[in-house]
Amino acid sequence: MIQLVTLHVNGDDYPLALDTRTTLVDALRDHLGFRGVKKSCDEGECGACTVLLDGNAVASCTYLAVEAEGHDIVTIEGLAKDGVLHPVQRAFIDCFAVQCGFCTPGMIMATVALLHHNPDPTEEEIRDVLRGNICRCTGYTKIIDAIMQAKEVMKKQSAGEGAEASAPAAGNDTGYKAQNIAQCGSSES
Amino acid sequence: MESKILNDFSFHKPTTLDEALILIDKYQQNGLLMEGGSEVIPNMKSLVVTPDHIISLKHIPEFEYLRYTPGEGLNIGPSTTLTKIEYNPDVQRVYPSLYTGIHGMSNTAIHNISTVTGNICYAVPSADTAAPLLTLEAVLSVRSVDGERKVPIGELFAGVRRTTLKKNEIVTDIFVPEPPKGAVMAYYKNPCRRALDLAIAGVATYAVMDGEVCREARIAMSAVAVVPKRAPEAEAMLNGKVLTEDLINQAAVHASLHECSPISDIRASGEYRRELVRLSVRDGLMLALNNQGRNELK
Repeated sequence: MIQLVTLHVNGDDYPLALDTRTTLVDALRDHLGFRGVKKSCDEGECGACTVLLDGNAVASCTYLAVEAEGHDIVTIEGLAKDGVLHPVQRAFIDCFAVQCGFCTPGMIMATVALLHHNPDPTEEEIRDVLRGNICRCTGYTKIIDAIMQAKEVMKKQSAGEGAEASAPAAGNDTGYKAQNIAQCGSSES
Repeated sequence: MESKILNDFSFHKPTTLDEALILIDKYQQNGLLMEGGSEVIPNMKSLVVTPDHIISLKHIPEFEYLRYTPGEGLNIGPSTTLTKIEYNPDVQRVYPSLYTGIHGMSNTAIHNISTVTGNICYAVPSADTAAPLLTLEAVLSVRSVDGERKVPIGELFAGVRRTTLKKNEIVTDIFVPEPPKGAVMAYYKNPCRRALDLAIAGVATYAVMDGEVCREARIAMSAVAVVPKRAPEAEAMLNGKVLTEDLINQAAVHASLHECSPISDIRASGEYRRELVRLSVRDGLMLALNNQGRNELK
């Protein structure tokens, strides 16, 4: 059955005529072109399709698009503001928490939701909340490092020290950069 | 691999209970009630369920609440997400086994949409909230156009994905009575991995002690029979007796050998499941003997 719905994605309204069978991930990718939302297991078990629905991380493959009407949907495309990356995006880049990148949008959206609800999670809490986001390349160490960095940056931002809004936390960051650039350099030469 | 929902359906989004009752009464033969959808949608993709009508219950504002009344118990609204229950301090304090059951389920992105009502009404044998709610003797309020009735959770499960609810009935509330002060409860899920896995053998235990005497013991098991179920014979071995390690072991052996009928499948052999039942029943009840894991009611 075709149903008319308006999806509110990344701040904009999109009126759509959708088959009721369309899942949110398919609506976002195929109908609206938000290809940053990844589709992998398609049964709510891998976390790749995670988007924010009213600020909560939701598996968009197990959610009907027609049910998402009236909710505020944010995808990875909606995080950067005026060309400035979200601190979580910045931290994933700085900490080399990306390898093939397929899990990354889901990881980042899950992290944004986590830090929204719990601005100062312990490593254990991070691992617990992100247990549903599966990465098959990097292992999770650098992802956790990135989240710890993002947490520190965002804590400083909310404490009003946010003049260098997206600048990564100095201590952690320089360490990682030096180490990884050195590694890259040696392997390339 | 691309997977789509193949069977076509009409989607209904009632915003009041009355509207929902009329819809499910009208479409009871080929309609399906949906809460979070985390079971329904993957199962539609694999054609396990092929409804002509989906009636979503998550747009009914009166269905979303979580109320703890000290001295009485907990009322869970049908649309209240697992996340809201999991992070509720009263649930964590008073109903640790329910908390553990919810916490071990699936993942955060599913917790944010799924519900306890959906978990038990979908009635898979491994449902993680089933065993804790069986030991807590939860009571469901059920409505249809014909009226309201109460269904103790012990009378809910009828088979794999089958309940005793009529096709036009909707669960409107889950009431979990407050356990007595000092009740000791536990839930062991025994999955292969911590996240995103089903129970190999789920065991919930509940014990109320009166000094050294076990005033009441309750044991419930999931994933080891066609339906989640209690172990009444093992419970009877403990009730009113002085609790000892020997007696606990006897009850655990009895529950694992005579009160479940686990299958062998990809997750584990039947024998292994029985062994997990034995160990989990033992460990859960040993908490009572060792005076650990009490709920923290004042």
